[in-house]
Amino acid sequence: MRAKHPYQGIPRYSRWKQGVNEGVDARELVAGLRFSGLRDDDRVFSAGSCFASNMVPYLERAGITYVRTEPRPRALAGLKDGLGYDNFSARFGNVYTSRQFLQLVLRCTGQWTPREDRWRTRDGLIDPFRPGLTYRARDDAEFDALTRSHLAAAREAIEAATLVVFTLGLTEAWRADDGAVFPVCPGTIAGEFDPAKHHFVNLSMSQITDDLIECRTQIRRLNPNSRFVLTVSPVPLTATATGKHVVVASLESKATLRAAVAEAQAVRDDIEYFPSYELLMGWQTPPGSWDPDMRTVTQAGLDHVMSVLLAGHIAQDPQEAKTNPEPEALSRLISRAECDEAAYGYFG
Amino acid sequence: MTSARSLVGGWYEELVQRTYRPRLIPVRELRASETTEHQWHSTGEHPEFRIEPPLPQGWVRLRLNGRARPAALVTLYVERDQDSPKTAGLRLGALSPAGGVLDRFVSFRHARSARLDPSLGPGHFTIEDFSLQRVGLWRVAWHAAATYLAHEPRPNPWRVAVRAAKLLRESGVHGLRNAVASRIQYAGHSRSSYETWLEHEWLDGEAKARLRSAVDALRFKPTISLVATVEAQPVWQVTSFLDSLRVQIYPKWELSIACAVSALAETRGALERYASEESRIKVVVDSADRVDPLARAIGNVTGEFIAIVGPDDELSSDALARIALVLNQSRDADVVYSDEDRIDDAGNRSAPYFKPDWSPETLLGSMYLGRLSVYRRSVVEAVGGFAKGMGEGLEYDIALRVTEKTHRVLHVPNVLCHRRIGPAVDRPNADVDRGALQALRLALARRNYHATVEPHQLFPDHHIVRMTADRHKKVSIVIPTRDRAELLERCLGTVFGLTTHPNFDVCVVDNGSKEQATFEILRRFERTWPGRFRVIRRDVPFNFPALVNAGVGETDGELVLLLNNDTEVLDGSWLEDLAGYAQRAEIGAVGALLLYPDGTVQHGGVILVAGAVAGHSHAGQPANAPGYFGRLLAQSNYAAVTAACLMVRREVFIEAGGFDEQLAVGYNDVDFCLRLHRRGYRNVCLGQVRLLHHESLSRGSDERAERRARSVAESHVMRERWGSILDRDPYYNPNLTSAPPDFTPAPSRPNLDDVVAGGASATGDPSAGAAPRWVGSADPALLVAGHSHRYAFLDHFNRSGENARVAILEVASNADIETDTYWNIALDTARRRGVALVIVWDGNQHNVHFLLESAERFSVYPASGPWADGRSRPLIPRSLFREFFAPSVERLRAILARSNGARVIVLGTPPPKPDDHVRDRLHKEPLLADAAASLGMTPSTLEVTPLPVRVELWRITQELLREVADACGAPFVAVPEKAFAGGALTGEMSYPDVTHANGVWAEIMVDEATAALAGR
Repeated sequence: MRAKHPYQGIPRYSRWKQGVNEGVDARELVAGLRFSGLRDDDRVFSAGSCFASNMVPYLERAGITYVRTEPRPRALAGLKDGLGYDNFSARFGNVYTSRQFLQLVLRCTGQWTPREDRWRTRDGLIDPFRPGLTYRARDDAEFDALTRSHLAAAREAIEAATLVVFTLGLTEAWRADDGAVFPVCPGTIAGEFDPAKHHFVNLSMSQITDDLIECRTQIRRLNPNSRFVLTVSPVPLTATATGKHVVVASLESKATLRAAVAEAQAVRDDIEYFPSYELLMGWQTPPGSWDPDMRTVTQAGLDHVMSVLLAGHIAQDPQEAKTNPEPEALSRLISRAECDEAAYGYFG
Repeated sequence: MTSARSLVGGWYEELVQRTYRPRLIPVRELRASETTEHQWHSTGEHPEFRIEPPLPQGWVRLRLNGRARPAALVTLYVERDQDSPKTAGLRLGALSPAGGVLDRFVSFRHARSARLDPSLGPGHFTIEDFSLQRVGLWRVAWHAAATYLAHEPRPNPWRVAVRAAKLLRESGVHGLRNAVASRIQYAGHSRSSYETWLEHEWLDGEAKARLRSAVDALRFKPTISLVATVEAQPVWQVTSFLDSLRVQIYPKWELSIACAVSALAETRGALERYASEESRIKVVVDSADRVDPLARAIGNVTGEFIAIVGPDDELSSDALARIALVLNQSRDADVVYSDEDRIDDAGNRSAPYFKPDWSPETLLGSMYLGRLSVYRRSVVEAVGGFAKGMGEGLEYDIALRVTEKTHRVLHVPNVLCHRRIGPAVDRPNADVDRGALQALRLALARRNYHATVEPHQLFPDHHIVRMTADRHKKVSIVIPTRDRAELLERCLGTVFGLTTHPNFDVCVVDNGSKEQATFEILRRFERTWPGRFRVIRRDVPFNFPALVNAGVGETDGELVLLLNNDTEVLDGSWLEDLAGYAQRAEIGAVGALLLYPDGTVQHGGVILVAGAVAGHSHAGQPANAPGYFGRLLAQSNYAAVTAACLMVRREVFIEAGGFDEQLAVGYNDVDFCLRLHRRGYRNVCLGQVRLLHHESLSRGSDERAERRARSVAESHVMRERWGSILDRDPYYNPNLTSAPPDFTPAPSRPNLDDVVAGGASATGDPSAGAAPRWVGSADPALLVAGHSHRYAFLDHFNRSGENARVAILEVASNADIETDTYWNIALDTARRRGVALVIVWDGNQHNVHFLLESAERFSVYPASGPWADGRSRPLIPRSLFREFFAPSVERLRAILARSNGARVIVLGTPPPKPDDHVRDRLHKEPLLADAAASLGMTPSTLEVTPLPVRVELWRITQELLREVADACGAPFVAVPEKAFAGGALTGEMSYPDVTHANGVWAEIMVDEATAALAGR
């Protein structure tokens, strides 16, 4: 029997009464967003804001491979290091804007080079695009080598992935004269702010849309079979440079980001969207998903999002997760044994 | 009950307990006894058994039950698989004539063959049972823990458990095993401090060979005649003694041994047998003519030197050699005496008497020279020979008489004589005391001493000698004071109330008293004792020497007594007793035993402390304790005595220049006494004179930072002025610990080479705690200290011998390298000997963490040179590894900061080895395969971190070493280019493991270090 009008026969979750008042089934939020879930043999690359890094332990616990091309050697587990080692697929640190992500992809494919690519301090050289890294290069030669190594690692990570996930965090950014977008305003974590060289930019929806489409193109070129999944971070701004109230600026930027994703999806059908933003922002959000500061997602909130992301996957007991034997322990043992043996050999 | 187990006992042991009873196959210098089963004769210096293969693998409990005569040291050598370059010698312990069981855990890992060296010289022994039982790791670990607990002064099982758990976590089961291995194999069983000391004392073959060549090279080889009388000692004791003579390294000796009527028939037989085999042994058979057998024995000898020994003593094999060495260094020596200890029937040694250097006043207290004492025969004859009828006092008598004629008395600080514990020596015997007392009385009479002798009431073999004071000699008592009226009143009250000496006056030097009570007391004593009591005021900032000098200047007594205002006289004869000694021309300062009010010793003489300044002897012991071999009981020589109660002749005080006002607070008395010592006066502390000293009550002000700072400055002055004598107190044996100077055997010893090179005045090491010892050249240019790469220098020394001119500061366990003691000794030795200290610091960081590659591969950008790597390995900033490795050199920085006065060089450590070398070791070396297996890994799955990466990591460690050295002003000696081949350590310089270099490398590093020193 033919429907009398388009709303007849729509899924039950498309009606507020049934989809919300009668109980939200969070898994249904992904409907119509092209997101086709995760497979056990997927290899996931991710970049984006802090929120993006939160998914990593969930993925690994579910037995899904998280691509890492610049892993921290386990011997160095005790060292402090800033962003990067454990959170993302390579050590690019947080990537808050579509423009920064695009520039990262362009840099690691050798298509673009920023002019202001290093800040000099007495303690060594700082990478303006990874200002949170604690350990600095001691000279240009090492800096160049480290940067080359990192960009190659980032490219390798994209190439190795079956799923490239990018989480959009911000619209506001700071750029250099040549358009290079910094992850944070120079002078905040590292470097010095120079008003003549460093400019504020608040990306528009169309700019972001264009960036995302270009990202999709570039990634496809690197890895033709990869899926490209976008998410929007539900986390509000810490501060805005627009002069508006932070609540207004936050909602405006999230709306812009969300709309840009929709726009990009309208243009390209190979862009998927996962609704982490929608799972945590709104009437449907389970209570207890936010800290009292109303900016930090709680463990329960993350569990909620990840249960949807990993629907159908069974989290493994961390106790049972396979731990590989650690060569460092053997290195240590050999070294110690040899010192004793040498003593024995010489003195007996 | 007959169980299945006992029925199949052999089988059970073989298979379940895995006990092997391999045959011992004689290889050399061994002859099986034709008559007695299990008995062997060793015919030379290096007897060897081979343990019949197959050998068990892994940890083994080795048990050997047997006995040997003379006592034999048993050493196990295990030869391991081909790549182990050296055989390991493990001392299992000693077999004694009385028999015993050696029971040790030993690693037989990768053992190919093993040999057992049962002795260090000719003798015979019986091995009744020899077994090897495989044991599990946990058994070994349990044993290690038990050993450790028994060994620790204050065992803390919790700490052991925590440490073990940490090791287990960090390094797995095998790591724990390796860690306990050194404890078990090197620390051995729980021991007394003397047993620890003995461990370093054993003469191994090499040391003996060195001593033998030193003896061969001597120009003067006098015959040393030994004289003994046999009574009813068991025959085996006598033959043990004879055997100990036959293995003497020094060849020119003769023994004249007399048989008393009481000697056993079998002993006579044994003596005759020995005499027929050994021409140097002469037996004087007793006759019924009632002539003292000893006198007959003495009449029978012709040597230039003569010594009386017991027929049940044992001499150490180096005994006569060391005496001969000293006689060569001091050709005019008339008496040489050594340290001694006790030996029981099981061959266990204990109760070492580490004697002071020549101490005439101590000799008045007891026959401390003991054995071995060697006298020049011409001097003995000049004093009339050995006295007849002295009985047991004979040795004391000759010591007293000879030392009246000569002061050329030298002391060898080595235990050369082991005296038998048993009835012969330890039986309470009135004769001993009477003979000794008689000898002493005769001596005092000969010397025209006005003195009385009485045996100590509780310890009658110690004699209190009271010199009668000249009652006409006035004693001026100088008492510096500041307030504390109550104490001053007790001091003055007991001085005036108790003192029996009729002729004394008191001068109180008041240094700024403010309290009315003080002034009242002073006025009262002035009124009561007009002409004998006066007060002078010196209201200057506190300066003890200034007050003393002023007081002495204001008085006129022939004798001066410095007395603290917080002392109390206990016995009226105190002043006479002190004056009796102080009036003697050869005596400098005379002190007293000072007691705290709680009855413990505050001062029993001052002992100089190596590396520091001085401390009070016997401090904290109960007042009625005898002290070390009776040194608290009577008169005894010390390098110094405290100024809290010090008597000296005025003329000597003036001659020495009084007290030094530069030393305002501390050590001024030590300084004063050392000036007396340098001028040839002897200082004495009288244990029989006791005063109370309330010292603790006046200590408060010492705590002040300003005072403490001054005290540091004053100890610097003392070290500058007296460093060499402070480091070697003649009245405190160098084998005793100096920090604190509490008369316990020092865990470290002056090494053999020092003794050979430096003779009787070998220096002691200022140490406590760990037991470092010096291995290598006797006359080194470089002293190497540090972590395991120091072994390469030992290898260098082994290859090059004395030419290497390196010595290595060794410790039993690598863990001791981390102790302050080790580094204090290293720095102090470098300062005192003027050798450069070469520090080999760590150098394994890159291997410890990164030898094998984890899944997270990485690379490091080179500090210099080409960089080829494109993308295969993520690059990690050097700065990260610098921070990662930095903590490992921080301790080095602290050590270098303490190096003042010592020449210190920091040495580069060996570069890494090629990948295929490491891989090869990993696949072929069972040790590494075991280690891998213990972590659930198979060698074939493991990858070696590529050489360029390991080299960069190693370079970072070198950078850090250089920076620390630069910051501390120490030269850094880098590994030179010629040590590299293809970027790695050359094969020629490689020790066959993945970590270490060998002596070839060490040799080039020595050259580099020498060049760096020369260029400086």
